[in-house]
Amino acid sequence: MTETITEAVGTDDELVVDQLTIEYSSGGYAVRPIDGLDLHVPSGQLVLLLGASGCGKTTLLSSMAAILKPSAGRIMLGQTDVTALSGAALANYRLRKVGVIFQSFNLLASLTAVENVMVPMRLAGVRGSAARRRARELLEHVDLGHRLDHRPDDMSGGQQQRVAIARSLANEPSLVLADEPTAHLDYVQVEGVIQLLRTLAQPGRIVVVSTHDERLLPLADRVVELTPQAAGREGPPERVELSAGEVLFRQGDPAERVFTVEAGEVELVRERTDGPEEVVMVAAPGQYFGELGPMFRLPRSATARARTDSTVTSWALRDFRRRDS
Amino acid sequence: MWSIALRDLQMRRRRFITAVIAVGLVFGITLLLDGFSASLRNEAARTVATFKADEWLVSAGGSGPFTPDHLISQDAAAQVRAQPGVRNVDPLLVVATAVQPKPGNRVNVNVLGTGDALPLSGGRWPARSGEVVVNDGLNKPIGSTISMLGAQVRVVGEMHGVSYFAGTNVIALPISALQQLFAGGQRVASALVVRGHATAPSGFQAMTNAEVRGTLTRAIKVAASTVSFLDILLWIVAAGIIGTILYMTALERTRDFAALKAMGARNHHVFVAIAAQAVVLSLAAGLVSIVVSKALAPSFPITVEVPTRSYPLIFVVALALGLVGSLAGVRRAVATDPALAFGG
Repeated sequence: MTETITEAVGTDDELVVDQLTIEYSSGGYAVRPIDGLDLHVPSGQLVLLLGASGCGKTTLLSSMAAILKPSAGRIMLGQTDVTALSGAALANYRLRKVGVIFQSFNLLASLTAVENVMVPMRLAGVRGSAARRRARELLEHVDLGHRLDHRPDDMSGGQQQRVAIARSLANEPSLVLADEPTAHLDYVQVEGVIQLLRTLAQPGRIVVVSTHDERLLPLADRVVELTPQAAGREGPPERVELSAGEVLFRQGDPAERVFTVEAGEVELVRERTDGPEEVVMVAAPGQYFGELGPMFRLPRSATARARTDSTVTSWALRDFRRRDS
Repeated sequence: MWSIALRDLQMRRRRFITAVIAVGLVFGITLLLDGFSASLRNEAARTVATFKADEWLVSAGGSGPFTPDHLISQDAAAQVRAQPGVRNVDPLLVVATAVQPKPGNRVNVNVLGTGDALPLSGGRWPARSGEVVVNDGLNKPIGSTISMLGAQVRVVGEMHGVSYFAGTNVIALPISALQQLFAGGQRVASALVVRGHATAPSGFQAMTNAEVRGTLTRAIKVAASTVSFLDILLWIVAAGIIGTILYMTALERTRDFAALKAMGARNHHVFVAIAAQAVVLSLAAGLVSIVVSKALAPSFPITVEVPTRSYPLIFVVALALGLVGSLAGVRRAVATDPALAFGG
């Protein structure tokens, strides 16, 4: 396989993510997988977005591709405010500034490898003969010169992934986004794709890869962990006094401690996107809440708010479980 | 996007060929119905033109020469013939009856008794009593006999395309022979066929050729409007088939469209990807419809005369219906969320 792809280089744009918050509705409940994210990536770097399923990797990638509008904050690629794009400028950004490598490849089944790579160029108005010539070169770069006229169904997963990589480079984008690029590949195919991804990051181009595959860690110039890291904060039990209406923690916050109610009442409410909040439970003296978040390293799934003046005790997960047993 | 659309057609060719045949058959039937409608109009015009009349005289208050409700005296012909400006006057007697060209197959015919010989496509005009000429649609060869109005008559000549009332065949013979068979020899007629210009005598009214054609087409107006209604129903069926096929395709290609939009394809690109398939499907169906109509027309019991203009028109109609039919698929494709391209 060719070591580097040297010709498909865009401008020296930096990628800046500033206080990005993405919230959407899932089954009527507000979900905020990305909350106040800051990121600065200089040109030429390969960034790995690492995290478990559902932590917001693909959501963040979609925002960078100008496919999903964030709820707050912004994304800048060079001088382009990606989050403010619309209409023709939006289509032009997707077409010329970004190349996306989808998890399921998303090659058009009716087209051959070379025709698939031609698609973004033809959409950008490149003449057929020029587009075909460049598509051939890109496929030769990804070691698929012998599969130019094969359709996706006749190629292995690794070969399809390499066609998708060649397609993502078609219009010389300055940002390449790869969504779980190793998810559908066996270990033999993974190696080739990893090598290829590494060669993509070079001056003039940023590569952002979302994955939960830790084998990709050595590739990265930078790793962004999207799974909440604050779970299970240690420390002795703490007594917390709450006034009526005071919020103990909010839905989507990192989960750190477990709480027991000593006096008063604490209600757990879930924000809905389609109406008023929903009361999940009311914890009375002797009852506890908030143990699943620290246990499974999940963000808070509901907001805890004192219904009356209340006293709660905050526990480290280990202490809470020891106390319980 | 045209190439993507055509490649996709190629990949789904079995489905599209099936759709082309189905839509082509439907369009073919509309062409045949169109030909049937045209033949209803044409046969009336042809039959009226056979008499080379400048005008027609019928009984005052009568509905027309071929829809006789009053009989007149043949002797009036001599009186009209004497008018200046009249070159010739022929009496015409019309009798509606039924004959049995084949055993067990009784059909309605219109029997015309004329003063002058009518143009023939074969054989000769009857020279004596008991001889007739028949329209070729009756399928009675020269030399055969028919039982008509209580007598056996022999076919001695053939006419082509002389029928009216939706293909009801004409049998013709000299008026005197028909008067003998129908009216016991009384000199009665249904109308006078005038060459030149006559003033209608008292008790008569004059009719133009257009008015006479109108009396023939009026009788089949319901049939003609039924055919038009069937045409519209068939167009809806064709649009429905195209719409269903393209909507299914749009559903199956949701991820393709999502990926294309994620790559920067705009709505008009996506529109072309579906509409191009509608255009190809419709035009191919138009071609099939012409083959179908040409193949089936001869086996119709009535002459089907598809107007020449209908052939280019079927492509225009097919294209319009194809695009209308594809609207649901287009809407579906254009509305595809590019975010669907992400995930496994």
